[in-house]
Amino acid sequence: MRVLGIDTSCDETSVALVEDRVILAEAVYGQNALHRPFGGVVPEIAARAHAERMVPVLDEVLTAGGGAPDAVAVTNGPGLIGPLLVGLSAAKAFAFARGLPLVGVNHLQAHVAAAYLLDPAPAPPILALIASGGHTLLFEVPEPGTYQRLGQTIDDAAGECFDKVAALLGLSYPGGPAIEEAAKDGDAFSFALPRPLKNHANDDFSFSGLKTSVLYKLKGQDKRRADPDTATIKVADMAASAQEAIADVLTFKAVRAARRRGIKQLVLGGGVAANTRLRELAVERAAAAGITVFVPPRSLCTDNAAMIAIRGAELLAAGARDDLYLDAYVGGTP
Amino acid sequence: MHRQGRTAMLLIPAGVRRGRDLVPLAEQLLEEARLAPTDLDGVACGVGPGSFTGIRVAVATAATLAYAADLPVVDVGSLHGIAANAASDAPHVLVALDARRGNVFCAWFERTDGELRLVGEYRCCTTEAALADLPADAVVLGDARAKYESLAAFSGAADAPVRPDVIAKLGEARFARGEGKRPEQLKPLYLRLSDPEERLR
Repeated sequence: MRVLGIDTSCDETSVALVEDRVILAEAVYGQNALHRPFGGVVPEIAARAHAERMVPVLDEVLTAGGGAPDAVAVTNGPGLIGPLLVGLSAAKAFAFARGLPLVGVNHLQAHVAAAYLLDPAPAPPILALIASGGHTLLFEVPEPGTYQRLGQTIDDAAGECFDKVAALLGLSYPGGPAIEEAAKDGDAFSFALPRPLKNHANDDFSFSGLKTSVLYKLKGQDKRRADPDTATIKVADMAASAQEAIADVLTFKAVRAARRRGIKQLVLGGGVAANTRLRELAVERAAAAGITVFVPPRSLCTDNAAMIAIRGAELLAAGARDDLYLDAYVGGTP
Repeated sequence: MHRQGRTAMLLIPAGVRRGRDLVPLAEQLLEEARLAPTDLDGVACGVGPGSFTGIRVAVATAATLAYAADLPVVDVGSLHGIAANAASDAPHVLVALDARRGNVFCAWFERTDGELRLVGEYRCCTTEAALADLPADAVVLGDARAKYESLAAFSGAADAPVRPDVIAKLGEARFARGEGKRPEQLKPLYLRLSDPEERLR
């Protein structure tokens, strides 16, 4: 079954055609340049760009020679409501016009399912760490099609922490790649940054305190230290220290969660999983526990429609169908 | 939907209250007419101005439907669809929608040969600018009446929906004039930058 996947949950207009766990065609219109002046994704600007790019991106995929879709899978949440509605409207219109089955896909579950596009691919039971600009959570997939959320961030997402630390250091948006680049020349242990919730028994995360700690180290406890003083702090060292702290907490808790449940396969997903240090540390710690790590390439970690199609195919195979009244939702897992 | 001879149109008005229901409504409409999307000759879409989210849902739906069914599209101004609510003998009609930030989306129509015709162009401006030179016998339609007394002083109605039949009829006329476009050319008509962009200026 050829499944057309559509994702407009945040700032990527993404369409893909997938059949039997193989990507036949895909196209993405990324909007980083549009949001850079604002230091973060602006929902109204994202929604406007999606509306302009939807049909061209769709056309690029459907004219790539992969054949006609047999079904349509679309992200209907969680995400930004304005952007979500553009993709959802397009998916409904396409399914209606072509008389195809439609299925709504949870964006976070799809980040886990992205690993099914790897060769070799993992098979449940799977433990997944999904970390992006909007989400940070651990999933357990005990059997195919079952996604149980074990824990999540109680405040900022990991990618949001990267963005905020990058802004404090005067680095560009998006913060993840900028910090990774700056950290190359830095000493990751030059600053003792906190590891919030690292040793708590639960599977939750917290990153807002980490950002605040960086702020205090840069500007003093009263946040008023004059700029010249901050010049004595090497940006590379702070970037490396922050990256290390984020990667440390994420990988420690992900591997611990897998170990406790006797799960031998760890999947990384979400834009933060594109971070090299996070990957290194995950592989190192997992290996020590006899766990295999599955890390999709960068294009499958960041928001993409191939993962929506693969999760959609899983749902369709289980008999799931949605009608044309399918609604979008902002948060939570239904 | 507008049928005349062998012409059938599916209309998708801008600013629908619940974007969720747009495609099911279109499905229902076509089912009642015993038509499939591919039986249509084109899609006319009210592209705004209006609710930003509403016009995006309309444009994304109309453009993708047209693309998937291999049909041309035309864009129709939503204020035309509102002006059509005026009595058939109203000589002057001002349509004014609340655009926030002290502005209105507005358009002025004059009746000539029995037809309402747009004077000038669609604007996003203050109510003072919208009312400048407006004849005393003008009818003012649109939700901005509920917010501005200067607009409410004229006769008219605040609750004046975009008339989908008018969008379809005007759309058909534009197709007849050879003004059909490819689906990817259909764009929302915002008339205003987003709030963050305005603040950045």
